[in-house]
Amino acid sequence: MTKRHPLRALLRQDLQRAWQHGGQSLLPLIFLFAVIAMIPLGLGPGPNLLAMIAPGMIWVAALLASLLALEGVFRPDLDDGTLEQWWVDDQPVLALICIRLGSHWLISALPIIVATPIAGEMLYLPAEALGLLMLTLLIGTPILSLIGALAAALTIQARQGSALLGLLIFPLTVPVLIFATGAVSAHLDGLTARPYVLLLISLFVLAATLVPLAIKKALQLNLE
Amino acid sequence: MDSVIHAQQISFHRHGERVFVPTNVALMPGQLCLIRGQNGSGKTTLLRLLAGIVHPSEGTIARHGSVAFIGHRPGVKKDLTALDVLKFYAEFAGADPLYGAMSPQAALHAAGLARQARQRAGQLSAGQRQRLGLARLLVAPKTIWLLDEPYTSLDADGCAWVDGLLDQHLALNGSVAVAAHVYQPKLNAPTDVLDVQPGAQHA
Repeated sequence: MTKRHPLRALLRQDLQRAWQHGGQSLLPLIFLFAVIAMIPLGLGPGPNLLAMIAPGMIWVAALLASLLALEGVFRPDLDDGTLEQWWVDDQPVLALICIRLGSHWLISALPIIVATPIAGEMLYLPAEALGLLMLTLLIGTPILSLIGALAAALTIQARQGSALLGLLIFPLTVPVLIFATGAVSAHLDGLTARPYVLLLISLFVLAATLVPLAIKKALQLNLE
Repeated sequence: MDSVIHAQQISFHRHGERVFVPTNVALMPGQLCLIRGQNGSGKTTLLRLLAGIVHPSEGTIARHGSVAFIGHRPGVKKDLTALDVLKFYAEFAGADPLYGAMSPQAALHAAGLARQARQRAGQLSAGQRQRLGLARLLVAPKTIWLLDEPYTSLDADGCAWVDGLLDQHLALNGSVAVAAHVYQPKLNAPTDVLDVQPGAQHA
């Protein structure tokens, strides 16, 4: 007589599959360091210039890594028939969606946040800005996962899904990027980063409350 | 005894048209309902309505009991091993305490996949994948089984295995609705036939 634990089962399966696809899971990190290694080659290795653009570069890498992982967020589950199982036998659909969002974040964003100190060092990021940059990543990358997953749910049956995904997502992520990098540059200019961080937090709260509901509706429409 | 699924005049509209003529379904404990119909007549849609994956555009459905649904895509992740697929479902869907659950290993053995336990599902043949999908019914047993073309890609042995599963489940007072258009289940239990009629144009 086994009791069911759908949330635990889904999280375990997501992480297990990410682990098995080792190469794919390392992609965000490879991406980050490829970007960071290329930039000095193109712009010249001047410490001042690199320090100025470092927060932006790391954020763009996080954005692209998040986008790269979106293709796998719902579509494979629709194709192999596991997604419809979420709607059978009173499963907690909304919570399952949140678990899937969480595993997307764990796989695409967490490695980048963890690697940010090293990346910052490579780009001469001032040490006093590092903590704040990591804080903005910690608040901001879940917003990227939320927005991206909503776009993925909406375009799940579109043929050119990934191209459409990019088009849909980039404009919506602009505020996140502006407030996050704004916080860091304000701090480096000796101003307070507080308003930027608070705006980021409110964006997160807004997205976290509304987006899972919208994703549920979007997926349900696509199951019909 | 009361029916485990009671659907009254249900239908589903797609692009403003009925997919099938409004249908009544009353599934009793220990009863098998065979859903027949031509290709595109709405058998799959009817099963998905009964499972609760989509909601009826008209009519009402009442369910009393746990539900297992196996669609024409068997819900098997191709990058997991056969064993991991069943372990996942055992935890994800859980077992209805009314029925005894098998361990994933025992279920693989019953499905004739004991030697494929460590193979990725993507490397299995279509028939083996279908067996793996159906083995979910053993690790996570439910009262109401809704099976969409469970005999697809199965060999004679496989069809007999599924018939045995159904008979066993019906003997335990479980209920089954099966959509099948070619193979007819050979069962001891009473079988009720439901013919799905494609919806009228511009209903």
